[in-house]
Amino acid sequence: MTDNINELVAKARTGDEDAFAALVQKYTSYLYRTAYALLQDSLEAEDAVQEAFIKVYRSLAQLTDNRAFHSWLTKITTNICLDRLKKHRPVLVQESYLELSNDDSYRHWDLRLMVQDALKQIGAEYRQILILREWQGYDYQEISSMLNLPLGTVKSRIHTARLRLKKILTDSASLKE
Amino acid sequence: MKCVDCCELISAYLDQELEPHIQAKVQEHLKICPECQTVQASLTEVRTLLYDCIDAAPVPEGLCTKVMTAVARDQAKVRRQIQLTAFVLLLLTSPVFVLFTPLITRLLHLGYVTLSVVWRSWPPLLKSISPQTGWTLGISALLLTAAASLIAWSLLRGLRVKEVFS
Repeated sequence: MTDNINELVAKARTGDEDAFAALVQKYTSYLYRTAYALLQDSLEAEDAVQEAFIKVYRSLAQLTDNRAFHSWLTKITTNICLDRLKKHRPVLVQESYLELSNDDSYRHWDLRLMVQDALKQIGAEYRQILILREWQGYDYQEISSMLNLPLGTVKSRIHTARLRLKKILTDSASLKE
Repeated sequence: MKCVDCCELISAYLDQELEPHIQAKVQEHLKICPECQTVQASLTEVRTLLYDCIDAAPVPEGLCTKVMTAVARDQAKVRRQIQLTAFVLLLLTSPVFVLFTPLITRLLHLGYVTLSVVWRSWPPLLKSISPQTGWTLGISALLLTAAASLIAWSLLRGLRVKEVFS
C-alpha cells in the first residue's frame, strides 16, 4: 500500500496525470473529512480540498521525499482550513447524515449526529485542537507550532475539550432518555 | 498522587505526552483508583466516538472529479500567465536587439538632442513659474508616479518569470 503510494507520488512528480488522479482518488475522502471536521461546512470543506490539491500539484516537484507525501498533504490541508477559520467563521449548515446515507443502523447514526452536534457546541478553538489530535494524530509539540500556542495551553485545551465534549454528550443522552 | 492531580493529567497520559516518571505515577494511581478509572474510560470513549464520527462523515459524490477539474483549470491559468510573462519579457528585451540598427541610433540621437534642449531651457522655465504652480506640478507628478507604480504592479504581479526560464 505504502510502496504503491510512493510509486504514485514518484510518477506524479514526473508529470504523470494518471498517477496524480490516482492520488486524488486515494486521499480525497480523508482530506474532505479532515476539512469538514475543522470547518463544519461541507461547501467550505470541498473548496479547501480543491485548494489543497491545486497547491500540491503546483509544488509536487519541490517534495524531496516521496514518503513524506501523506504528512505534507495533510499539513497543507490543515493549514488551509486554519487560515479559512482565521479569516471568517464558516456558516454552520445543519446537515443530516441520515439524508446522505442510510447504510448504517439508526442507532449509530443517532450517536454520530450527537457527536457532530457536540463538536459544534464545544467552540472553534477546542474543536480544531481536538481534531488535530484525535483525527490527524499530531503530537502536542506539532499542534503547538501549528496553532502558535504554548505547549501548556495545548495540553490544557485538549483536556478541557475532551471534558466538554463528554459533558455535552452525557447531557444530550440524558435528555433523550 | 491525588485524584484531582491525576484527573488533570489523564488526557496527556492517554496521549503519552507526560514525562516518563509522571506517566508511571499516573499509571500506578489508575490501577488502584476506580473513580479515576471511570474518568479514563469516559475520555477514551470520547476519543473513539470522535474518531468514528469524523470517519463516518459522508463524502460528496463527484468530489474527485471536481478536484481534477479545479486542478486542470488552475493549470490552464498558470499556462496563460506563463505565456503572458514570456510576451512581456520579449517586449521588454526587444529594444536591446534593435538597439544598434541605424533607425534606432537616429531616434536615440533625436531624443538626446531634444533632451539637451529641454535641459538647457529648464532653469529659465523654472524661474518663470510661480511657487504655487511649482508645488501643484510636483504633487501631481508624485501622484502620477504612485498611480503608474500601482498599475504596473497589478499588471506584473501574476507574471511567472521563473517558470518561463525553467
